[in-house]
Amino acid sequence: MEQQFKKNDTDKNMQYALANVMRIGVWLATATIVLGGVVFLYSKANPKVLFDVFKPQDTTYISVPTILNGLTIGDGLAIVQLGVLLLIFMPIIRVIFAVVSFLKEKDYLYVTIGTLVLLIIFLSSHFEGVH
Amino acid sequence: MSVLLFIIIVLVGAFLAGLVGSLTGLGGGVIVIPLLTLGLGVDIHYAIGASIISVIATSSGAAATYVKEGISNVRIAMFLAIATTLSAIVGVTLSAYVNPSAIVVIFGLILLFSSFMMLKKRKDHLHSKSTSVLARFFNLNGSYPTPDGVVYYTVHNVIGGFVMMFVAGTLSGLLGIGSGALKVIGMDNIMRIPFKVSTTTSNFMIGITAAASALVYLHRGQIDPIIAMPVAIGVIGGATVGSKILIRTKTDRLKFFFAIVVTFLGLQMIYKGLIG
Repeated sequence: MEQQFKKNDTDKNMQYALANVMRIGVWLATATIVLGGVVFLYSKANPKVLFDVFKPQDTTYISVPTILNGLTIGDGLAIVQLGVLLLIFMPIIRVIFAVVSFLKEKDYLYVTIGTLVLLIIFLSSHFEGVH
Repeated sequence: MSVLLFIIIVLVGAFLAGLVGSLTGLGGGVIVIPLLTLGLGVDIHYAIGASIISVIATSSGAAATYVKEGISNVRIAMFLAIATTLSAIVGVTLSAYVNPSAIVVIFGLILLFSSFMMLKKRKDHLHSKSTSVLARFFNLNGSYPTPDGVVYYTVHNVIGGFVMMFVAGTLSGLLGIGSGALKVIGMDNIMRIPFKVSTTTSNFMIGITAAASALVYLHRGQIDPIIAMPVAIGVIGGATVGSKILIRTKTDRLKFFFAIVVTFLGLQMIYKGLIG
């Protein structure tokens, strides 16, 4: 029976490493977002906010370069977006770990599939849809 | 409304969303979007952008535990993620064309569906030893540890599951939700993967799918840091507390209660979409 199924378990060490990376990553992202929030609330006088109409041009930090730019001037909202970016990267890191595991197992079909998934995500980051 | 008050309200709401999400298995978006749109009058585009962040946060938070248990099937996740990521981009693209009122109505319908799924009793189906050619080719059959030893399972109807993932991914991209319920249906009901494997594998796919959508939303200016900040902090905090309570509560009555709440929210979203 068991020979019929190829072993799907990836290396145990790899699993523990990934679990730790995920845990630390989420905490790091959360801490970054909290820090950004504190900086933002501390530096801004309580402005009124209204999000009842979608105005995409009002959102400054929409890409890695704009976020890095905001970080250089110490803008709290840029720090928040850095944390948001970190969060977005967590599942991507999980895919990268999986591809490395497949590579170790010499499962080239799944190295290809995993790389394809990474490629689709990468393409999405260059994709804005239509305004 | 002052920015501080706005952030405090969203923080509290997102905390409850994360708490309820981890206790009932509902995704964060199911509560975050109605809170922002119905409760605070936030435009649906911003609500979707914030929601997708909460989806990634819950998925990644749970991942640390799931990865250690070794129950999720990484190959199934990776194989189906091709469908969910591609269709997520389709969904995000569609959201630029579809009338916002229609998006609100579709979201309401998804809420009704989610509450139905939450109450539905799941039956473990018998697992036949047969399997499909595709499942064997893509090496999707697997095993997972249980207290009674390792259980082996086979995967069926790969094409049906793949198609279902296209639907799930499109809705995920369109609405900024995880589409966890649909993903579990695809794996559990269509592909006949054991429920535990389906839910943990779905968690992995939800994260991957949401990452693809989130990057497009970010570029579009739909992820506003003033909203994303309290949503992310609140949801992560709530989910962390929730996972600690989960071990010692029976969730049946809680699920029933929230199914009613979600049904009510769904009806309200549909009403709002139809009159707006």
